[in-house]
Amino acid sequence: MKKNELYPGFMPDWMMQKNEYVPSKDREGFLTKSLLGFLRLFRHFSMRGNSDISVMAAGMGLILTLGLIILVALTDSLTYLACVGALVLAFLSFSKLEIMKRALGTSLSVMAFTFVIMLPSYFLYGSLSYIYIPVKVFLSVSMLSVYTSIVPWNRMTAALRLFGMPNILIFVLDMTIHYILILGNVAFDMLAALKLKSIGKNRDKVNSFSGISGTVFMKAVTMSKETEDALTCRLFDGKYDSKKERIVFADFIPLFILCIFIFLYIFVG
Amino acid sequence: MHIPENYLSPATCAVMTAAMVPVWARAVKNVKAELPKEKISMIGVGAAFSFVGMMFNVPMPGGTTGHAVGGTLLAALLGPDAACIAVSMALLLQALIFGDGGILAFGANAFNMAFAMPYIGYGIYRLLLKLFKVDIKDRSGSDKKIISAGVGSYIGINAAAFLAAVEFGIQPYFFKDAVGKPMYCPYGLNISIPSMMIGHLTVFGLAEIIFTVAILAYVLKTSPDLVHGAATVETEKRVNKKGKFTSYLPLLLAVLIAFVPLGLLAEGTAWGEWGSDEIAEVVSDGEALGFVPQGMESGFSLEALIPDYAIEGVPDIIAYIASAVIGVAVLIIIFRLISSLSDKNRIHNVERSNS
Repeated sequence: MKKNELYPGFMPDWMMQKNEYVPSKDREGFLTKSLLGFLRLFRHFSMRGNSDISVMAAGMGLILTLGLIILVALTDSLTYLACVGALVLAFLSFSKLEIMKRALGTSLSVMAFTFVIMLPSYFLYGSLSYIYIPVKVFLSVSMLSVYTSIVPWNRMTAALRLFGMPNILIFVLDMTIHYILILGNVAFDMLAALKLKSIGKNRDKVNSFSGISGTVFMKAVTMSKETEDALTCRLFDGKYDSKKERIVFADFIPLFILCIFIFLYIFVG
Repeated sequence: MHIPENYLSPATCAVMTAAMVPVWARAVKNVKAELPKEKISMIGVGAAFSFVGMMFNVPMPGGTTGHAVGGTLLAALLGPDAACIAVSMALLLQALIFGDGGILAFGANAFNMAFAMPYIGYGIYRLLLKLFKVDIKDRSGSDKKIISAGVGSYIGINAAAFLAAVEFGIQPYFFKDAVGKPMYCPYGLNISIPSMMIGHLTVFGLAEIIFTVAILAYVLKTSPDLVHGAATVETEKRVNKKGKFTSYLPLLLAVLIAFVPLGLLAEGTAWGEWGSDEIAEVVSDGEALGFVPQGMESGFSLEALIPDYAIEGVPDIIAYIASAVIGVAVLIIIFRLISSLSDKNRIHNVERSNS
C-alpha cells in the first residue's frame, strides 16, 4: 500500500517529483522595453516642481530659457558658450540633487550621441561641429530640463495663458498632460499583466500587442467623453481665468539675466 | 526622426514654424467646425494617446523592436486635422519631458510629423479606398481599409523622413560661420538623404505599418464607429478571434521583409528612433570612417579644437571668469553626486546591520 493512501492528506507522488521545467526563451523584449519606457515617464512626472513659483516668475523663466536657447543657437563663439555654460552649471550645482541628476542624465546622453554623429564631419570637411553642436545641445537640453523640473505644469500653462495663448490650445495641452499619465498607467498595467500571465512560451504575446494598444485608444475615447460630461457638470466653459497675483521684483530676475546675456552676445558672440 | 536642438539653423526653425502657423490655425478651425464643442476634449486625449503610442516598442520580425509615430493611424481614427493637433502636442511634450527633439526645432518636427505625415498618409489612405471602391462610411471592407492605412502610413513616414533629411542636408549649403565652415548639421544632401531613408524605408517604415495595421484592425473589429468618417451606429460587438487582416498582414510584411537585412544596418546600434538613424549616418559613410586612423596618426592638435576667430578680440577676463565658474560648478556637481551615492550605501549598510 502506498504511503499517501495510508495517510490521507499526504502529498501525492506526482507532486513529490522534482520539476525540471525550464521555459524556452520567449520574445518579450518589446514588453520589457515598453515597460521600462513607461517607468521612465512616471519618474519624470513624479517630480512635482516648486509650487511657490508665481505665474509671472514662471513666465519670465520661460522667456529666459527660450531666449538663452535662441542665443546659444545663434552664436559661433566658444567664449559665449562658456559664459552660458557657466550660468547653467552654476545653477545646476546649487539645485536639488534630483533636478541635477535629471538634467544631467538627459543632456549628457543627448550630447554623447550628438558627438558620435558629428565626429565624422571633422574627418570629412575638417568641421568643428563635433565640438560646437554637442556643447550647444548640452546647454539647450539642460536648460529646458531644469525649467521643466522646477516649474510645475499648472504654472507653465498659466504662464502661456498670460502670453495670450488661445484657450482651446491651453485646454488641449492641459488635457494631454493629465491623460498621458492616466493612459500611460492603463498601458503599463496591461503590459505588466501580459508579462506576468504569460507562462512558458506564449506564441500569442506578439498578437496581444494590437489588443493592448487598441484598448488604450478605446479607453482614451471613453475617458474623453467622461471628462467632457464631468466638465459640463462643473460648468466649465473652456475659459481659463487666472487669479490676480501680487507681482514682486524677484519675478523679473530672469529677465535681467537675459538682458546681461543679450549684452554679452553683442559684445562676445 | 525627432530633430534635436542646434542641428538646424534658427532661420530654418523660424521658417518651418512660420509654415506651421497657418496649418495649425486651419486644423484648429476645422476641428472646431467638425467636432461638436463637447468633443474638443477628444483632441487632448488623442494627443495623450499619440504620446503614449510613441512610447510603445513595436515587436518586429527577427526579434527586434522599433518605435512608431502613428501619424497616419491617428488621421484614420480622428481625421487629419485632429491628428495634426494631437501629434503636435505630443511632440511639444516630448521635447519638454524627454529632451527628445528640440524646442526651437519644434516647428520643423511638427512640419514633418504632424503635418506631412498625417496629411500625406491620410491622402493615400483615402485614395486607395477610392480605388478599392470602399465607402469609408461602410462597415464592410475593413481588410481593404487596413491595407490602405498600412500603405498610407508607410508612405507618410517616408515622406516625413525625406523632409527631415532635406532640412538637415541644406544646412551646410546655407549656414556657414566666419571661416566658411558649416555652423549646424555639417552633412550635405548626399549623406543626409541616404542615411535617413535607409532606416525609414526599412525598420521604421515597418514599425509604422505594424503599429497602424495592428491598432486599426483591432478598432475596426471591436468598435468600427470610432474610426473617422464612419457612420455612427450603435456599436455592434463582434470580436472575432482572428480577423481577416491577419491573412493580408504577412503579404504586406513580405514586401518589407526583403528590406530588413538592409535595415539591420540601422538597427545594429539602435538606441531610440533618433539615435539609430543618425548613427546610421556614421555607419553608412564607410569612406569617412576609413580615414579615422590616418587622422589620428597625424596627431590631434589641441589648437585645432579652438578656432582662432573665437579668441580674437575677446577680453580674456570673460573667458577666465567663465572657465573658473564652470570648473567650480563641475566640481560641486561631481562631489554632490558622489556623496549622494555614498549616502545610499550608508543607508543600505545601516538597513543590513539592523536586519
